[in-house]
Amino acid sequence: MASIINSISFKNFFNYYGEFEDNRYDLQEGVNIIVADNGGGKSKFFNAFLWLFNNQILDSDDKSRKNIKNVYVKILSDKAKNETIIRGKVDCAIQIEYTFGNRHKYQIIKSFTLTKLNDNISDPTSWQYTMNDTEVNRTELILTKYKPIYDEDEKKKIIDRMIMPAFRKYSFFQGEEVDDIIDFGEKESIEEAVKNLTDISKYNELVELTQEFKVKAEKDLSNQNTANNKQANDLTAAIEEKKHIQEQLNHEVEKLKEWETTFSDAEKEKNYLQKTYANADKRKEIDDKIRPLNKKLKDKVAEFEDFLDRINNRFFDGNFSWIAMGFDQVVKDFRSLNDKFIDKRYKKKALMDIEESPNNYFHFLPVNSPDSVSIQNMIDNEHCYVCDRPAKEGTHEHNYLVKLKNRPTNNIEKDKSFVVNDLKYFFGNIQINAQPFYSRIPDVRNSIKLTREREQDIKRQIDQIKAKLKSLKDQRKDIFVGGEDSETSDAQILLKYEGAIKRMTGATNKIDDILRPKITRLRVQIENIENEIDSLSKTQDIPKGFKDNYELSVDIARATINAKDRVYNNMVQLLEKHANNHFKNLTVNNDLAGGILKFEKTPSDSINFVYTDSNNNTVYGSSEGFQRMKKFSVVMAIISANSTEYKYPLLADAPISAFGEGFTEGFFEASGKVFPQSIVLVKEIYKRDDEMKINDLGRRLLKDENVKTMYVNHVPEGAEQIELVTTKTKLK
Amino acid sequence: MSRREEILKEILSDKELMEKYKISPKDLKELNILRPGSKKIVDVLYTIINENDNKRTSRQIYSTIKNIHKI
Repeated sequence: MASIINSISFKNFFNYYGEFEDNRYDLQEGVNIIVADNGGGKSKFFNAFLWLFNNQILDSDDKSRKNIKNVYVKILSDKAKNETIIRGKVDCAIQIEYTFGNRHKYQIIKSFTLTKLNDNISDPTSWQYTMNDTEVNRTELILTKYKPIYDEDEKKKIIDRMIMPAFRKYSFFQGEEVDDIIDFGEKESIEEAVKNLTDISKYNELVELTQEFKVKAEKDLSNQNTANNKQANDLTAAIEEKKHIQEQLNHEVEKLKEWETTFSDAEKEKNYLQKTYANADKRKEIDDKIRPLNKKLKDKVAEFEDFLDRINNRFFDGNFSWIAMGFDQVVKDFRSLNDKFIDKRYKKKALMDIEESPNNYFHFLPVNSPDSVSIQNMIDNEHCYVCDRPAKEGTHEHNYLVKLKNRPTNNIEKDKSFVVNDLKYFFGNIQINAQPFYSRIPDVRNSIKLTREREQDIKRQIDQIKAKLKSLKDQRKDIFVGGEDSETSDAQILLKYEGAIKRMTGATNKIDDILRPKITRLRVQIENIENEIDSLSKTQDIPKGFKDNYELSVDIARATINAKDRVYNNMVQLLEKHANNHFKNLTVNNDLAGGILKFEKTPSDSINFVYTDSNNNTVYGSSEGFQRMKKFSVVMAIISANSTEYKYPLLADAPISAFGEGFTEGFFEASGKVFPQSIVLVKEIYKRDDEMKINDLGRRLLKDENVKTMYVNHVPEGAEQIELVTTKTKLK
Repeated sequence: MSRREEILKEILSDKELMEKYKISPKDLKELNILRPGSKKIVDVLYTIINENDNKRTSRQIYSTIKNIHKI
């Protein structure tokens, strides 16, 4: 019989704006996945359970848990706040339905009401806060109507039954919290688990009781002792001696406790430092921000260099023509001088041409007329028929006719040079080549100004990225080196770490080599004396009951201690076996071969957790994903090693953030086997530009028969806070 | 088997105890030893486990044990 959450609904709870019906998630036995990008309402979803169980929420601003009554303004949807009229009331609530067994279904509603006093909506004093009673309703599964429950104790019982408080830490966690659930450095964490899973605390009580009865039985026996005979004296002496050795033993046990504390403290410090060194989750979070920024910076720097390269081209590129800047007057001067040059040149050429062949310039007849036959006639007849006058041989007129007859048939004569250096084409080419430049001269200054602005813009962007990177790297450094106390230097940490290890070694030597052997020796001595007392008392004239009482109490006390140790060790072994099975399943989709998890007892009786390869060599510094999976394996082992079936759902917010698809897939497979129901909020499978908003792994999970429901949350891109509303699509 | 019986069985399964008080594995398995008056050690141990569960004080439990021994 397990508890299964059937639905969760929100009313104006953070971004879940609107009524319960608008924000209802129906869930089923098996794996339920809610996919959302950052800001898509994952943590808010999880916060509903924090409210339900603890009257708290996790404030995302400072990552601390706060009581509802101190943060009600933050919890209420901004859109709802904005839409409420002054003096108007608005409710904020969560509603969870769950079944336990096959008979009853429960509905739990937690809510508060705010009355708006003025428009300053983010100010808590602008609202009057009223916490409403927790509503708990029950129905028989075959009925539809809920009946309210009024008894406060009964209400509490129903809420507790959903996930019993002692098991919430294994069933209900957010992101890196899993690191704290199983903190292998804390003596208590595995012990606590063993306590929850076994009757070890009962055994502890029994050990105390049986030890007490042993002392009482011995005292009673001693009181029965009759004086004045040798055996009685021997018995008294034996009891005295035992008392003396017992005192020594107590003294040594005290010393052992002190050394165990020394060891435990040093171990705690070492583990704390280790944890600080390897604050995997925070580092990962920052690394995930640094990586894209580094790429962005690289791209920007490349863009800037490319931009600088292009500046050279802009001097000679007709589109920019920076080279022409300041040449405005020169163009005018060139034009006027060129005009003059052309003018002069043509004049000069015309004069030469006229001189050379004036007929080309000064005749009234059409070209090539009169024709050569007519001219021959005119020569033969010594008369010009054109101007009708005589042209006797030897006269100027006759010669002219002969010249005309002999004129060249082709009119195009090779140009005769008329200047020493003809610069016509030189100046012409200058004009042609300079054309694209001088036409843009008026725009050059503006173009340079725009380019300069662009340069400043890219530089500013680069500086901004660099500043962001620096701040992230500083944060990372602080986590890496100083943990919470960033003023502690790297060297100091190292010194502390080495000191802690030294103290641990010292304590281990003292405990294992000196104290424990001494204590064992003293216990053997006491046991021998107890046997002596036993045999001496038998021969005494003491009622049998006292002797039996003493004998039995000694035996029972010893057997009880042994039983306690046995139960504890068996459970640790069982946990180890289960943890290894889960670890194998969790890492099945990873290329790297997972190692073997081993639980070892330390001198302070805590459980040391060792991760070895198949050759029994301890493996250090495996990836953060593996570290997290190790811890998950132990959490799952604690659940599955329980002889009775685990009855509670798993509620996990981003438990595997950014450890890669192999782990994500393994996590869903393994958690489905251990928990009757898991509700997991993830962003890893979210894909913004996909039609369904999920990646390939998401599609695979969608087809997986263990996955019973899958929702994708959406928030409008770039919306103002006041308009931010989470909506959802049910994919399965 | 109740939790109390489980704890009783666990403590009694101590090798030395089984030998000394002649408790056979079969006795342990079938919990024959729980028959009243069968073995004093079982009576005493069961009393301690039971009465501790019933939130009786150690002084009260010790008196009951003394009654079993008739002292």
